[in-house]
Amino acid sequence: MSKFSTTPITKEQLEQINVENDELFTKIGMTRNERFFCAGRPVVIFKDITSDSDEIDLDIFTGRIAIKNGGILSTGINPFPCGPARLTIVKWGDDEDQCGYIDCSSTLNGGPAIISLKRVTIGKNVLFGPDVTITDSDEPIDEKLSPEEMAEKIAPVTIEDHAWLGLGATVLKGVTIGHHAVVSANAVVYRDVPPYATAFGNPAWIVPGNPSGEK
Amino acid sequence: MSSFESIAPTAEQRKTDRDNVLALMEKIGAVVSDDFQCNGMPLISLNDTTQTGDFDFASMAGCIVLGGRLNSVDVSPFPSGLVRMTVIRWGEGDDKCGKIVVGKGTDLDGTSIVSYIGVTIGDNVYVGPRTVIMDSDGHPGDRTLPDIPENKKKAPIVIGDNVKIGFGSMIMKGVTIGENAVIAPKSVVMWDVPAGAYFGGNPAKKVRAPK
Repeated sequence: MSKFSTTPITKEQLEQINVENDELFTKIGMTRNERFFCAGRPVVIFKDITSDSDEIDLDIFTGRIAIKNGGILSTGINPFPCGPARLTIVKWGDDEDQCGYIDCSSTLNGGPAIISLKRVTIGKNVLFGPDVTITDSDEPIDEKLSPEEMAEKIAPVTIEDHAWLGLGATVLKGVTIGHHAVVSANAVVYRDVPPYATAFGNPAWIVPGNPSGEK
Repeated sequence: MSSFESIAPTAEQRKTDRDNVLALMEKIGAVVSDDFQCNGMPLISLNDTTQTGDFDFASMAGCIVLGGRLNSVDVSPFPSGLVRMTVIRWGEGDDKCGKIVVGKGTDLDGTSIVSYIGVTIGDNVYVGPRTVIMDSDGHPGDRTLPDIPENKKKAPIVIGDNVKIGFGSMIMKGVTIGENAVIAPKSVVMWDVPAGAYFGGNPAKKVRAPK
């Protein structure tokens, strides 16, 4: 059990925030189950570069963020600095697969920033340290490019079950983080990390690992 | 004088901050020297896994020993934030509790320190904003093991006198930084740094100091 020097948020305040968050999540069509929870207010950004309109058509983005298990946590009381979770979906072409999709089966802890133009898949029991960044495209995307030219700069990211993304980790486009792998704090990963391995540094180098215990 | 002056904490606010922090330190049994100063209220968390019910501060008395200055202000040229100190007791005895010691004349700007076993910072050290100093990995590196304190690797951190640590850095478990060493901004220090050296990068290695 712990004691904090500043007053944690009260139960009433948390309930109020949950109600406001729930209205937001329903409005934007975010998929979630009955066990979903959220502490702190995430930032959700939808961007449609195929349209000149100032208005966002929320129907396009319905279901594009799917939290299949777990919740979103980004509170201010934390041993480390961390901000709100930032979830960004970008539509860059007319096809179904020319729009981002976040498919998450773990709790998004510590205010991660996830930017998806195609697909970011997060498996079960993935451990998030604070301030993680995941992107499935080269940033920034030049909006003057055609969808065909853009496609080269975009590649799905997969974080497999039981992986651990350490404080400040950055996972770049096209990367698969294998199951039970560890991305060390502040590492910048630009290529696959095999299961059970550890990635350190910027740019990240890989140390292979072996499962222990019964595996 | 710049327009910045008008939003910096006033002398009155600094005194109130200091009084509030001293009251907090007394309550948690921290040891505070006469020259200790602070700007803004730091975030102190004590975590004792051996206790249930109302928190008994006696079990963690003396786990924070402070000299120097804790600067928890966002009114600074670079993104900064609170000074955060988190100490964990994970078993009975002195060797199963964190401890944070900060020396005389040391400046901690918006720094986060998490201790399971021991973080000792010497005199006249400067630590830049958004640096994280943690004497444990925080979770087992072997993801098949249970996530309990016994399985988390821990080793004490020692930072020598007059060291300068650039903003946004990370100091990992078991590291000793020799006196007078300088760490470049945004470095991730995984291994010992010799006295007087200039280290930088991720992972931090000996590099040529900039002009």
